[in-house]
Amino acid sequence: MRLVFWAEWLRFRRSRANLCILLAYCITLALCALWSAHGAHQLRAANAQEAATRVALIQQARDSQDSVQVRAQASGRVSSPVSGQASANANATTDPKRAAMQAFSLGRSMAGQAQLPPGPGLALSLSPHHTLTTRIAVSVESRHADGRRSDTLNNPMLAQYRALDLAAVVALLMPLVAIGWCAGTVQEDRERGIWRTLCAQAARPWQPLHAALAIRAAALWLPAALACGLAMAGSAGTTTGSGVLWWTLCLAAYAGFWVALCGALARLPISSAAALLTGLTAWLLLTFAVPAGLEAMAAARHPMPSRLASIVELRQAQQDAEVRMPELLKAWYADHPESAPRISGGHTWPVNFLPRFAYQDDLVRPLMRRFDQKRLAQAAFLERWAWLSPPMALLQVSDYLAGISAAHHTAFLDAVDQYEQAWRNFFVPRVMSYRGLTADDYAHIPRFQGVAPASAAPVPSLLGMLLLVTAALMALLLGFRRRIGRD
Amino acid sequence: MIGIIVRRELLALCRDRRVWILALALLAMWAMLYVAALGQQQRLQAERAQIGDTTRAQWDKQGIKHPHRGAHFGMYVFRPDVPLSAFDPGVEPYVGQALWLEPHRRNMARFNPDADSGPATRFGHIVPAFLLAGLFPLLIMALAFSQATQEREQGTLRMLQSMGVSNLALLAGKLIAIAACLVLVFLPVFALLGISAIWQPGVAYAESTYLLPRVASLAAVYLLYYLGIAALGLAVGALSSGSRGALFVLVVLWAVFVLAAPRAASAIAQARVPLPSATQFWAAIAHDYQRGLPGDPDLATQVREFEAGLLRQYGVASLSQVPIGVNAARRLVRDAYADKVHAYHFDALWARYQQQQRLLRWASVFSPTIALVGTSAALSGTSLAHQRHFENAAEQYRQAVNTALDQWDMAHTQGNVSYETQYAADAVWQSVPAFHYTPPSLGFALRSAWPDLLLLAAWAVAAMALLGVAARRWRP
Repeated sequence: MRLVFWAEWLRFRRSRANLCILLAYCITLALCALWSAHGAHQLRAANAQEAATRVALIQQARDSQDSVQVRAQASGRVSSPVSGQASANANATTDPKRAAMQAFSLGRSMAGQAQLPPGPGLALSLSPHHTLTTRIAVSVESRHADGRRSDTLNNPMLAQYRALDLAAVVALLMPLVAIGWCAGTVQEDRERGIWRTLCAQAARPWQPLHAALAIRAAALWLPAALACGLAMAGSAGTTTGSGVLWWTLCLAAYAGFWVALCGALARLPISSAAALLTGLTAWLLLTFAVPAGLEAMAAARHPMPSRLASIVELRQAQQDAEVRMPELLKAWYADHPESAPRISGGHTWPVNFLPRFAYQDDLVRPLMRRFDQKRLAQAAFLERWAWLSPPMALLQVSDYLAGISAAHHTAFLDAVDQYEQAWRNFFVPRVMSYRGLTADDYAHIPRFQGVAPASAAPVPSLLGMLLLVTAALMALLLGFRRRIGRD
Repeated sequence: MIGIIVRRELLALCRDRRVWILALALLAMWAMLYVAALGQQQRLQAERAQIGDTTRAQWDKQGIKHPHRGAHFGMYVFRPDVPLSAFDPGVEPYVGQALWLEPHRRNMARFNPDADSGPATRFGHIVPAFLLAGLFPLLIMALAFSQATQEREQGTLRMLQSMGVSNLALLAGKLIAIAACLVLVFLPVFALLGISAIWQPGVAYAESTYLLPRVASLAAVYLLYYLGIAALGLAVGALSSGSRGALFVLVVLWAVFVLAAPRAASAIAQARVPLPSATQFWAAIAHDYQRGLPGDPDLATQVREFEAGLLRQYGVASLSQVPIGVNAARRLVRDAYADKVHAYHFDALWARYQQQQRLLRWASVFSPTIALVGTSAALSGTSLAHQRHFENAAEQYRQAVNTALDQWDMAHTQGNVSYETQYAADAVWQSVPAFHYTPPSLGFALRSAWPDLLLLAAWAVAAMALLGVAARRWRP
């Protein structure tokens, strides 16, 4: 068998066409990997910059308050130096409306930004991080109608041409190379009249074919594994070990699937060109038609509510909350006696708006979260049927490793909701009571705690599916092995 | 001579049952996809109309409020459905479906359908136009290359050459026969497109007749693209030594045209002309609004000057004595400046989009598909230029609505009136005219897509030239 392998390796290596394809494959993957690693670096840097902006905003608000206090001291409104308890109570001596406004301004600024932390496989699946809402600025105001706090900025025309994600490139390119290398090889040998000679030379005629397929599978898998592994490691640091391992295993199963499929085509009684076309048709079906069909089925099983209809509900909630503003304000003060206002008389914006926003969001939040729940259900449906389309299964694995799967995203949105609640619990009483923020308060402004690492359980299950379909095809190949050489 | 060759090739193609089966299967697939897309489009159209009416009714029946609070309730506008968007949705899946119009701020359209789609759309959005632009070329290539390779493999090329038939005449005849076949196959596609566009419920007769030139232009553009692809397929078939090799080269070319070049070009355009992040974009607007655009005084100074002018104009000592609504008048000044700042930043953003589009056009040198996709979206009325046209119209409407409300407020109040005072009733909201949007003409589409059209024509000419070269080198 070793000699058969050696002979097939020499055959593979000495074919100029094979080497050209291998070279083009490696160059494409290398370029893509470099590009993706660079993109992942940029995204992490942008996230760090946004986090720094958040800190700077809080610091700026604090500095601004300090300068107001210094001016107040200079004008004799604060008698003692700002230190200790005096500092903590400094706002108690300043203008209550100004104090409320200061707290409100910070409470609705972009300082409350939460970011979805990317996973170790960010380099594999970058584009969803730009499409989905991965940065949301929570606020004391209602954020659901305001796209400025969460929506991303993209050129829709570029989106139309799709993105250069490393995982998508591998999922598209690997099968094409496999088809080029393996589909119709037996038929071509037969057309050239060397097939019978080849069979006659081997004790078991199936061995050369299977050795050739194994060599091609290795040549497919190795560059992809190296390129992806380096891109992941280069862009994420040390925490990528298990991610790289899972991805490498998935790539092995994926390469095995396509090589086995093309090997099975070699048994068909057709010409080499027809085998190539059949392989191509299978690729088109598995890459485009089956996933589109599965997505249509998922949408039918778990229909997404209408975004447009949600606008009507959102406006109804806005109107309802606005009409009930005086009543909501009264109820808020009744429920929070510890935050009694420091002024007497009528309350104006922003104070009388905050209970309204809380009420409005109680109505709107479940409406908005319906979409994520449906998206999650659709993703779960697609995962169950992923074995029907290995390219889609591979993309799903990459999304999990990149930390942008539907499960990750929903967990992020849950965490954002919790963060928003904490943010409001902190700011709203300080605005409503007209206390504002004291110097000590700045240290206690809630921070986004991140998302609990989502379970990686679907990755092994998706890998299992890939392995299963590959094993089924390999069993088919092995089942045919005795018939090889008889025709 | 060519006439005989064309007749012979046409006869051979007509007798080839595989061609018919393939063509019929593809047509059936396309028709199924189109009918499904059409159904979806009509559902969306009906929903959009209904939601539009409901949101308008919500606006009209706000009840008694301060007029500025009513303005802040805002309005939603929806881009009316383009009849050909079922065929080629262009940028539509990637832009928001609804635009919120509110005072002080210009928003971006929200809720883009792509954000709700599954992972498979990253391979490509399966829409009727994608089938025509992305998948059909593969089959045209497969049909074309074998026309050339078979002559050699069956030994008929030597025979034909010995009879004095020139290679160029032979290949040209084959190309004409393939083109005739393509016309025959794609005629029903575009006929169906034309009929469905005309018969679409809710599309007025005048509008439907203006659709016919669009459909005809689309048919012409797609046929030009296919002609180039067929010429390329024939040329590669003639230049290659075997069927398998030729097919492999064509598959690689197809992958570059349809999959690699558009993605690579999009990535390069993003890297060469980076867009600001959403946070940076909105922060820059907020900054320039408060601090003033380069050369302008800051907002506080502008407002102070305006108030001083009011006092001078009415000869009073305090703003509370001014005989018009001061808050509304001040808002008009502030909003006029906010509009200026927004226009400055939005224009800069659109300029960046256009720079990216220009880079993408350069990439058409490597892929005629990029040029075709751009042209097809423009002719279907779903291109980026059309989106900008709509957003600009919505922005003008937003400014007009808010100006009208503030002018009403200014005329009906005096001095400083608290925002807690409620004095605008439903009649005020109902006096605001509805948003009517007229999509741009075919001329607009052609003007925005002429570079793509030119590139597509250049590709077709280059493919013909390659066919000429292949004719000289075609040996038995």
